[in-house]
Amino acid sequence: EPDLDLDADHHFDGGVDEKTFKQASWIRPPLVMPNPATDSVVFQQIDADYYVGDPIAGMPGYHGGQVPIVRLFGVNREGNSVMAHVHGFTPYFFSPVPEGFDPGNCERLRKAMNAKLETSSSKQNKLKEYVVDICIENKQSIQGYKGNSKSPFFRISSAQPRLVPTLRGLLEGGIDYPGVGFRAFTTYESNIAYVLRFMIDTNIVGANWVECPPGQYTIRNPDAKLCHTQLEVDISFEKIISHRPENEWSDVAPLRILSFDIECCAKKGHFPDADQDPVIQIANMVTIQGQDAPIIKNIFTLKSCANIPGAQVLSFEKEDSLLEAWRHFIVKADPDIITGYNIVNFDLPYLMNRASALKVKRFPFLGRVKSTRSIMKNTTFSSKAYGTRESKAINIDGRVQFDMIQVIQREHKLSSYSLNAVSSHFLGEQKEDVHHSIIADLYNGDAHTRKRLATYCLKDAYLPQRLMDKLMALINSIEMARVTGVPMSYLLTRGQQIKVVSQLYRQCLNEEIIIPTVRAKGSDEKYEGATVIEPKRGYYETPIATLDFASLYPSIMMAHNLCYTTLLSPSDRDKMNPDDYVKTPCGDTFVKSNVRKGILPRILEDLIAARQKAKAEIKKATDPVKKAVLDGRQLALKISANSVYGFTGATVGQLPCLEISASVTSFGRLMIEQTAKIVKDHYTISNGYKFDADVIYGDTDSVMVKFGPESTAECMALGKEAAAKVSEHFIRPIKLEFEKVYFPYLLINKKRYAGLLWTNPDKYDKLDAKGIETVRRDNCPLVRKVVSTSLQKILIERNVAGAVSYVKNIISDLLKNKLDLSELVITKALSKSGDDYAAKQAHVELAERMRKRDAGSAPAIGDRVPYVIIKAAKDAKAYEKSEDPIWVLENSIPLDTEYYLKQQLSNPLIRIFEPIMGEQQANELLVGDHTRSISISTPTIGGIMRFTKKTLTCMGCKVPLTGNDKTLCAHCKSRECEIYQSTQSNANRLEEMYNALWTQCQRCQDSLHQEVLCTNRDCPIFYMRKKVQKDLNDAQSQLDRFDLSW
Amino acid sequence: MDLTANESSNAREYLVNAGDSNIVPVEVERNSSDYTSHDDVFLLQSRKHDSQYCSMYFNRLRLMQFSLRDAAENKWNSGEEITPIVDKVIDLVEGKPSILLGTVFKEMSSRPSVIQQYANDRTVKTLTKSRNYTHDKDSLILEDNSGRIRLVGSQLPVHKFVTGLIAGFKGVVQSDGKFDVHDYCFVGYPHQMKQPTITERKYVAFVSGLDIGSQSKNHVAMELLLEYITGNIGGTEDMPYMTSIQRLVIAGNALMTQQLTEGVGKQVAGIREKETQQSLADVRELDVYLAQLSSSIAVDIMPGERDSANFSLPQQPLHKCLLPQSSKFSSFSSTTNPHMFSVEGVDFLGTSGQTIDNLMMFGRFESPLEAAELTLEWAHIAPTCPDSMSSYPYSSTDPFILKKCPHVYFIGNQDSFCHKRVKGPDGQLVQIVCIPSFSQTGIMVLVDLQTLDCETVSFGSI
Repeated sequence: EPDLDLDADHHFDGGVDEKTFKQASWIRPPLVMPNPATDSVVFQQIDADYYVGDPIAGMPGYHGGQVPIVRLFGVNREGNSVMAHVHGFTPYFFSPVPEGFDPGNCERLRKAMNAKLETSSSKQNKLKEYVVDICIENKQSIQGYKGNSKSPFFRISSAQPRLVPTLRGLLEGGIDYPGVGFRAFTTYESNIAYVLRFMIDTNIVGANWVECPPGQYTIRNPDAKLCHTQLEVDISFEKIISHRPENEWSDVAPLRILSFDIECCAKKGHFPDADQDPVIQIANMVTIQGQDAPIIKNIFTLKSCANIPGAQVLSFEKEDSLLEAWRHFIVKADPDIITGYNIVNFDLPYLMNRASALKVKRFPFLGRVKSTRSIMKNTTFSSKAYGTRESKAINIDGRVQFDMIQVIQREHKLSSYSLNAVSSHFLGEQKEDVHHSIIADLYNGDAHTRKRLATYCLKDAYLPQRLMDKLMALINSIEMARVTGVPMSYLLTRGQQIKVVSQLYRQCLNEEIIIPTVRAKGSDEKYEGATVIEPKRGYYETPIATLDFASLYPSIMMAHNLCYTTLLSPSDRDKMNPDDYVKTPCGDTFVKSNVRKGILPRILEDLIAARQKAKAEIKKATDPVKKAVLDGRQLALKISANSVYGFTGATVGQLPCLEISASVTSFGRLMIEQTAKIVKDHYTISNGYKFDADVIYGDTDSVMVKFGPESTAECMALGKEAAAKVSEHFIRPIKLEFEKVYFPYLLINKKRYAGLLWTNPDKYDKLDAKGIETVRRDNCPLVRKVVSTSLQKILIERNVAGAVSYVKNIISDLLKNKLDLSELVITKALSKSGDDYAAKQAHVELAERMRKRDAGSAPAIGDRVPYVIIKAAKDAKAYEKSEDPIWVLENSIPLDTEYYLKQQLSNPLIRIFEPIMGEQQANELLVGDHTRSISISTPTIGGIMRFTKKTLTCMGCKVPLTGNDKTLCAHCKSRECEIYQSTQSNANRLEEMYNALWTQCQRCQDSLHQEVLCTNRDCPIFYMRKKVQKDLNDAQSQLDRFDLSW
Repeated sequence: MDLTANESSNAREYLVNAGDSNIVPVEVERNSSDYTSHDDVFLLQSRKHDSQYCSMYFNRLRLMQFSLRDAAENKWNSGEEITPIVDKVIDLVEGKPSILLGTVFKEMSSRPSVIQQYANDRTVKTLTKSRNYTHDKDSLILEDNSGRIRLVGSQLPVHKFVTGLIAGFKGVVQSDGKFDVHDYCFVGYPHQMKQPTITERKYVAFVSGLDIGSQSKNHVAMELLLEYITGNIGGTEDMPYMTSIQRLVIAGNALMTQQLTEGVGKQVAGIREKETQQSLADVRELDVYLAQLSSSIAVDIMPGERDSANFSLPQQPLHKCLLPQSSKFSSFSSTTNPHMFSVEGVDFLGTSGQTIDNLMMFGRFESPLEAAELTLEWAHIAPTCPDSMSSYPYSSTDPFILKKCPHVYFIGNQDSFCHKRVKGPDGQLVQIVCIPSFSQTGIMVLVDLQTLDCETVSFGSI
């Protein structure tokens, strides 16, 4: 164990001394030491874990040997960091008591189990006792309705949490029960994490406020402290008070958030390798939750760096000193939350690996527990909702790792998750991007070039914090943790299921119901999903009303009391009064709530009631922060309610019950069909309405109705009336709601439609498009732009002819090579090297070709490769036709406009225009007159150009010039003025653009005096900036051909 | 300093008088004069856009910082108390009073983002003249080759500054890293040649904005102008004027070049053809007009923003292929914009107006005269080049730095005629003249070389 005494003086090189680290602004506000007899210690806990230690006298629980002790980390209202050792909570689980077992034999059973474990335990795992207690309690299994009777279960308590799985295996494999014989049983509640179990039993939910009341806790003196927190206390799990996150307990403590970014210096053309490539800068921003500006801004640099106003620069000559100092900074600044962009998978692992390569022994102690080393593990996270991701996990005890890339990947579907793309999407800003080949040059320059890099690094360190604030990501996560009861760290590292599990356990605890531990079978069993009423495709110029079931699946579960605890087996059903149960459309039976109220409906009711309450409070709240918290909460509640259904249908899940999920969808299908029928039967001319209503489409929880009237107001009135009318046919709380009207409405196919959305009759709210603008990355931006502009013209301007001529113009410009290259760029990430790909892919091939041209600037693994499709020999493979856009610009390589027309634009356009103008006319879009004029640029390199000789041609008629003429042939001489004017006017437009674009980049990079280096290929003007420079120089040399002398 | 209003007592008006038959051709003997063009600094040797704009800022600061240092020393350090001049932004020490020299950058929240615009419709929109892009929340930043610092201070008139200015600031760095400005200074008026003593009455005449090709161009006024210059109209009392006019300077926008129509299809092609023909006809009309003028007077034509010249400053002379007739006259010169010349030892400098228009869009100045006056104090006639005013990316110089103080500083294409005589600290006297658009007002401005007084001759029917 290295020396971990942080109070000892450290000597850092490069002029950074201990004084710098003692700066008042870095450290937390001083702690006012509470008096344990009269003061309580109240703090918001943000992280919980446990360790194994010796029991303390006076604490409950087992005292015969080492026991688990929970650690709660958090912050009090004054901003002091607090850690509580919570003692005495013993891990336990349940197992059925075999028939004929004499309760007096519990102790014999315990001894027998201990003996078994003693023999099977390895030497270092041996304990004095393993099972510390067995008693019998009457409980009910969650599975199936078995009347209200309870049956006896062993409650088996173990000395340590790690023994629970062993004991589970033992019981499942079968043991000899004294007086009964050999039996094997499933266990109950044996697969829940100890800390979560603790939180459930003590009613602590994620990130809530807890209180150690006066007289019930002791404060550790500095010698006995295990952590870097300012206050460390000991308390019994029975004495700690958990406050429900309501009223005065709904706020958030002044948490310290560190947002950081590192720069490393890789060899040209390679992704940085921690074994060789140094970490050259680390920029840090520390912000107090709820404050606008960071309280700490600093940057650690390797080698000198010029001053940066407003930020502290800490320079080091040696990299190991830099790493050690940074680690020291983390401990002093003591952040509760660590954020950044891709820190979990890049920055932190890189720092860890680098520190290990440089043998910085003290480095991996980043957590709050003095003696715990941070260790890196590879994990694979797999979830139905989030997909499979490989990631790294590094424990930093007591601090929450809140990586913004993970937050955004979980909550937002984007075409790219690069920091460029994300900040442009959410903050509406382009970000200066310095290419990694330039990073090395800047680093190897002088103090000023390194400063350039440092200001860039500082900006990147601040962006994640700004994203967090803008998206209210931290607040929303805190609320989600509070609603579902899981620790905050689970939200980014675990799936959806654990949140339902936590709620299920909490609800069951109140009702003395226990949950079996089932092995995930991963069966392929499928059930029928939601229904879709076949869309009547077309373009509707009358208002279409949308009738939605509000929270359809949760409502069905509540209305029909669908739950594990109410599921009635066919054999039991015959004994019941038919009025007491409901048979679902798919044939399963569930008892009604008057017989027994289900647990899932109860959870859902609580969630929905809480959501209503939160929504009501939002209306009352005046403080914007409070409003934000409440909004985060109502959103968390909504998501949680919807995930309960998914939990019952997850066949690889903790407790799948397809009878429930299949019943839910079958009810859903039935209701959609019933709704359609009621509407069609009632709203008819024969019933006195002006039109016969028609249902044109229905999906999952909504039905689209064409009532007939031309006016949105009339349609809305009918919609409201119909929603109320249909709702009468269903059991509460199922409710059909009328929310919006689409007018006009373009129905392309299932889940593909667009329309103007109206919620009040005076003005439309927005253009709503579903499934049309493909955000797939193998589409170029041109497609998105053409599709969305066409839709705007059709739906908003109601100008189909305008849309057609717009599309024709674009196609004409495309074929004439007049479009901006950036609109044609396709981007894909290079995840593996060429050899690892089975099939040849355009972007991989291109990366390989680029490496041969210039290894320095070629994309490395992990980079995104932008490319365009160029003209090539007729039988060239698609992957051979990819090319670097910059290369294309510089060498005037002709693009394969045919590809863009046929492979990219064609299908999306036909889809939109076909329903409006019919197949034949829609096809006309792609082949008409406007496609006749084509222009192809003349490449300056390769192929045939090697055999050509340059000759000047007449600028008027393109005939080769002879003699002394440099501009025009004798025939065109008379048109000199005209040709000059048009050449000049072309150059003028380019001059204007050149100026506008390059000065914009200067403003964006925050410097007038320094060169624009940015290579942010996601920026809309990146390619144009380059292209305009080339075009302008071409245009100027054309102009120069006119004799300028006077 | 006096600001003389439009209504000059010397102004003569020639209104259209239908059926006037009193015009008798008179032979005019015009005094020849000593004329030198100093436009070389604005003539581009190469038009390659290979350099980035940062070089221009670098050179601007490099070339101006010595004079600025002198100005700062004079202003603040001539007494007992000495405030040190800090060489680099990054050398500032918190809490210590310092003087800082550098390039001003104005952060402007209501300035449209080119990136946003371009992302939306793939075009770069020309900034709208007559719109003001300032906002109350705009703030200033000072930059030099080492870094940037934010300028604050209750006495700091943010909107009297624009991006690109070279200025000095006295103040203190606060704990938040911002520079609290107590006072500021500029390079100040550069050296001026002694005003020559001229014995005879001599004038230089200015017009701008003939706008041939526009709806509003004033045919009759243009004819009258021609007749006047050639001595065909005017009473005998006008003769001294006419013969004393040494030179006519057309300060931009002789033409009103049309934007060519964009689009596809035959119809558009037809329109385009028509536009081209119209624009050729306009150029021919100008050529003939200039040839007529040149036959009796020396004419300088400067390009302006609507002329068929390059867009960026400095604008290069209109090409001779556009003006085949007039270019045959030795009395005719096609000049740059800005245009710098001297007549009889009187130094003239002026622009076709874009520089001042741009300042009016990106700062808050009471009038173009105020803006123009400030450019003298700044010793830079186009600080917003290249940030908001398009400019050629110079790699080793900045031609817009004012190295010599002119006697007459003229601004073309303004809304109305006005002038102001300003005085520099070392006795430099400059007559600033705003030349109104001829097509709007029909006014020609005469500058008296003896006194530098301004008069107008109005041909307008408007």
